[in-house]
Amino acid sequence: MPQTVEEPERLRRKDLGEAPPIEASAAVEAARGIRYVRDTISKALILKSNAAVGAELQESLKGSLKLSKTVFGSVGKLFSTFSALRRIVGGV
Amino acid sequence: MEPTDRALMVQGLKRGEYDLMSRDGKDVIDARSSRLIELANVRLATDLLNQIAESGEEGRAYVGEILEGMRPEFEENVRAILREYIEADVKTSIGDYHKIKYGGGLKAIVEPAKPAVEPVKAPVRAVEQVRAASPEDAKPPMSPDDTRKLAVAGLLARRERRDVDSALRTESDIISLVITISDENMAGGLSDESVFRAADAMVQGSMDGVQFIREALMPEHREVLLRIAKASG
Repeated sequence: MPQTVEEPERLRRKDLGEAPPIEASAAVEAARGIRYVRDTISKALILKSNAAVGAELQESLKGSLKLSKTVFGSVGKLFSTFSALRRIVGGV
Repeated sequence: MEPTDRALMVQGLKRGEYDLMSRDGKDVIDARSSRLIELANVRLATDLLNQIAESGEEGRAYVGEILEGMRPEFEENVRAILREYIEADVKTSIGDYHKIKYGGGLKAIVEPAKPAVEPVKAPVRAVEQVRAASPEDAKPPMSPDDTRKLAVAGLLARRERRDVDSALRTESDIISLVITISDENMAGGLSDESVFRAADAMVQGSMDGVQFIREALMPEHREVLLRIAKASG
């Protein structure tokens, strides 16, 4: 039976210095087969990176919406536009 | 595998920042690198195709056919432009790059980079100047400048245990700096290799507080760099 453990709260920027106790997070890691990042520098850099990734996602989505609208006259073909773009860049 | 500088850039990180991370932290970045590179490439393709689609009715029609998979030969040309842009490692947007290099229109997309398997079908309206591949299109022999860049990329690649192509593609600023510094100090008997080795020695010994090769090549460390390069010959 997999062990049920309480997931620690999601870390936010203000929590960086207050990571969950090692024992608690170690239990979650063992139960879920994942590893938490514990050092503060990595956590801060991952948070910074997440912001950049979010911005990249947003721009990508905006560009795909615009392309769908320009080419097909509607944003309704967003998913097929995005799939086509993925196919096109597949060989890059 | 270590992410490339581009993979880090897409994730808003510099190499120096990545190097500061613990193994667990690096694993997070490494694991999402390839997916995020794909996303960045999608964005480039989107920017390029949007520009072409907005160039007029003909452009819009072509882009529609490319997206619907009806034009594999043009799709390959889009990929070729994306690859070329990524390899050029320039600061300008892909839209501007396409404008500067190909005039921004359809030409580079409908022009076969190599003989097409089938003749290109006429689009909505005939496209002018569809040029077939000719012997002049053959890759020219490598220039002395390119040979130097390749040699410096080789030094970088060996130092960082990565392949030369990726060093050449992603570290063009370091490569240019090494070449510029050695050119400026040719009279003092410096070579590209002696400059690079001096920068490496500075990093290894944390001399002048330097932690990265790029940093060692900055003007504020020039005096120390040149002293080491000259001393080591």
